[in-house]
Amino acid sequence: MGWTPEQVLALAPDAASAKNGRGLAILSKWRSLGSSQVLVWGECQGSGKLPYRTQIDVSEPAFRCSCPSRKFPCKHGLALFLLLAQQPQQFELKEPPDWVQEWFVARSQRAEKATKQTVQKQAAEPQAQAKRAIERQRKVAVGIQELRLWLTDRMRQGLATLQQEPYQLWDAIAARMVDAQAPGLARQLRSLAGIVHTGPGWPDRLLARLGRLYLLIEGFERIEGLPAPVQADLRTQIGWAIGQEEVLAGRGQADLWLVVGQRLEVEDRLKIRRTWLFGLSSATFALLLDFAHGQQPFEQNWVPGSCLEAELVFYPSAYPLRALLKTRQEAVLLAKQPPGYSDIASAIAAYSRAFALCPWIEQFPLLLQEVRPLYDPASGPDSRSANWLVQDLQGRRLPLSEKFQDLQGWQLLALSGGHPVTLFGEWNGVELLPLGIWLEDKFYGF
Amino acid sequence: MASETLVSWQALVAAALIGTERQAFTNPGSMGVLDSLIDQVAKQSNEAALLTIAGTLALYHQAGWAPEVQNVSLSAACDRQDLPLCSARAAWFLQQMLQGQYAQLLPEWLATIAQVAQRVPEIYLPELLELGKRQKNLQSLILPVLGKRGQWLALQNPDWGYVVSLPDQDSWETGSLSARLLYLQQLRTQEPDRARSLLEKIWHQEAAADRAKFLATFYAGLGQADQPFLETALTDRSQEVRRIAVDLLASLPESRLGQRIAEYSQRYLSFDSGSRSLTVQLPDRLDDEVIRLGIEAKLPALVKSQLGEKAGWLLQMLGATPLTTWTAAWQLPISEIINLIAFHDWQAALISGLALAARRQKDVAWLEAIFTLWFNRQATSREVALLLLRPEELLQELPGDRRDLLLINLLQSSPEKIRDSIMIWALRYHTQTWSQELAQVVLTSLELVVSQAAALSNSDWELRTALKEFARSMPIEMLPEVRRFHAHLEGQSPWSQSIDEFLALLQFRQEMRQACLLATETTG
Repeated sequence: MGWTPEQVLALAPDAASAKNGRGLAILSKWRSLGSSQVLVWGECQGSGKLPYRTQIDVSEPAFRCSCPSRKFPCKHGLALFLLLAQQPQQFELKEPPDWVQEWFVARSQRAEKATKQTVQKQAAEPQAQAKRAIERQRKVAVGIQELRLWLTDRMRQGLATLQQEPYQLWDAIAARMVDAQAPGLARQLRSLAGIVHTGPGWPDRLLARLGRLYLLIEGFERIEGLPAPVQADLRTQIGWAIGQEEVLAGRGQADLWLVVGQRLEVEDRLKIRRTWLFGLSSATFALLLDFAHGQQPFEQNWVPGSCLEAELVFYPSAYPLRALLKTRQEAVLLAKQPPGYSDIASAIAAYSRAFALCPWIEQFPLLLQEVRPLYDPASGPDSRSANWLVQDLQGRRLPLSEKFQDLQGWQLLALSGGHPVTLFGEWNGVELLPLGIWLEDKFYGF
Repeated sequence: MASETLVSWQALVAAALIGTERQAFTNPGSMGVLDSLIDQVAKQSNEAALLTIAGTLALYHQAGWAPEVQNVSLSAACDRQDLPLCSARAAWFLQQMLQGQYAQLLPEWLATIAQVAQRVPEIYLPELLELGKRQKNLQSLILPVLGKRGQWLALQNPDWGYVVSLPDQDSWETGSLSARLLYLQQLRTQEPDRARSLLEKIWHQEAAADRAKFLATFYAGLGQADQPFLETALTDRSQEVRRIAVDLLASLPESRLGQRIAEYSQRYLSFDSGSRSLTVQLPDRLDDEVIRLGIEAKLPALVKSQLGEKAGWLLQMLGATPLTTWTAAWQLPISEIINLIAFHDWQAALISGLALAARRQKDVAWLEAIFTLWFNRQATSREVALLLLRPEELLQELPGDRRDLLLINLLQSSPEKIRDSIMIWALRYHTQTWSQELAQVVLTSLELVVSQAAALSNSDWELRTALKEFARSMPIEMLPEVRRFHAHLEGQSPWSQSIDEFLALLQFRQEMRQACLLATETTG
């Protein structure tokens, strides 16, 4: 099996690029298509006199094109990759021409340089760093006192009147947390504001979140006496990012990692991409987070359903999930169903164990075997109850997330045909957001 | 969730809603394993205790939640034995069209996949079914490529009911107006007599507007057996119903209505073989019988202003007279009659009336003759030459091969007429692929127009837009010809972009077609 067009299109920076790329993926637009090991290239006739020279290193995949577009990958890159996915026999095996070879060499050199730089950076100024850390600790402590007072006020005044309060009430305290260098708290506070308007049961949901926030700051007050991984979790919640260099200095875990799902979300103008990996020999999950601003492309590409041989380092946590890539080999195209939980009860039991170790987990990776998606028009009168569900062979059900669109629900149902499938999704304790399924070793991403 | 802690949780929410300012927070009572926690917070402030207990209890519940077994029987899974899937390449083209790119080629894709007896990959079924809901003309093309999987899926969504539920006898009795119309329409094509007797039974209970809609289904399966019923409809209170009844009766060969009206029209229209002239002589008022037969003495204001009252009578009567009446009575071929009416004082009424009759009687020779007469006129004199019906209606009644032949003849005698709106229309709404000959003539005409154009005129805009649709009807075998045409085009030509697109679309079609005809083994 090669790359599928869906996998390729998942790399498009936006819908317009995907559309244009598709339009160009016809043979008559291209000439001198060639390939050599991990490299493919071709020339695309554009509006100008000279054709654009487009090349891909499929091991990552990485793209380069002589066109002036600032999109990345550009439509030519996507089109070339699409052609490779659909008509690999059209690519002639040969020595890469100079313009391809040069790029390949330059890339290898750059990669080496980057590794060296990281090592040098690490050694920089330990004293100044320590000073900055102490200063931040002080700022956060002040912010947390403020938040404690604010939470106490909410309890004194009661939640009943909150529906009449302006957004300003939440925004002001969130802004204070940003000043206090606790962006994690700020983010949580902003997300609380919306709960007030989520319909029946909102006081239950809000109180649970406020209580949890309170436990978080209580925990922070006693952080010194807690085990190191728990400390790390608390800091992460507050928004105390651990430097990548620090994480990468940790011990790596090598495995054949299967990309089991991907989810892109946009907060303000920040694109946040969660990529879930599953280690085939260690049977562990890892979460890679990528960020990009506005129209900027992500630095790395991960293709759901593909496999990569890599060494990952996990961020310290009582239940480590988030990880960084330390070294990576070629992407391997291995289509394989990963082993998951055979029933919902044991999957939820695993979630409970993880949650007991780290109650801050927002998305828990759930790989379920043999579940049937189903549409239940009668699953409750109020708008919050889900119509889409998955059910296991024992008859246990999990509701699917409201973020899962109706069209996706029908696609899921169509793919299953009412038969059990292997499904990967994110469980948030209430709803499951499906990110992909396998049908006889073929992966479909959502 | 343990019931004792659930009660405690509700007490906590109640306390939090009211606020500790109004009501002091009291210990919510025993919470089993969490009791030691309650002891710990006892010494804290009201608010701290409330927040801590709420936070802990919420986490406790979340960590301890387990789904229960539900005894719900699920609908049966879909049979795995199904039509073979179309190739991955073919699916790729489908995806593009579903996303709006070259969407106008979807009917061709669907037809080709049906032809090779394959089905649509599962993932695209929802979008395709949804499209069929919105575009009714696609429904009959979608059905054959759904496979069992698509049928199974459609059963679960009432929006996609068109796949499974054809209207039946029940929908005639209890269904909505549109369901009843659909049922009647289908029945007319299969059992026209039964359809008529169903309608007769309820005819007088229906509102006038609905009677007109029901009667309009009679164009399908129209036959002599319908005559008595249609004649009673001639006396209907509703003018709309009467008009449809006249139209239907006049479309019926040898109807009593046609025979009677023919007698009157022959009285008013006479040909003198000596002077070879055609004389029109109309009475001052219409005979009562003629009015009973559905000829309207008072014309709609618009027609009246263009035609005059008496010319309007003539038009209607000619429209209801069998065309063979004239060739037999005057002993003239059609072409000579056309010459007689072309520049006659009463030309508007004569041409339009005969056109109406040709449309109703589906007389190929007359349809061709009148269309040609009309088409060869200058734009300004065209307007007055055809009233009450559009020139397209004449073309629509022609069988496909005759229509092609007609268009070929017209274009060969004047290639620049490819710019003509009606020619563009005719080529555009051609339902099948053009014949090789027609395609060749169109291409030659295009080359001529394009080579002459130094700059684009307004009327070229219409042709340029239409090229996209032309590429859909062009036989794929013409691709080398189109490539040659494209290659000879000068880079500076104002037509470059349109011809580029025209070629690209044709190439897309060719690749699509090849992909659809691929063997299914390459799937996946």
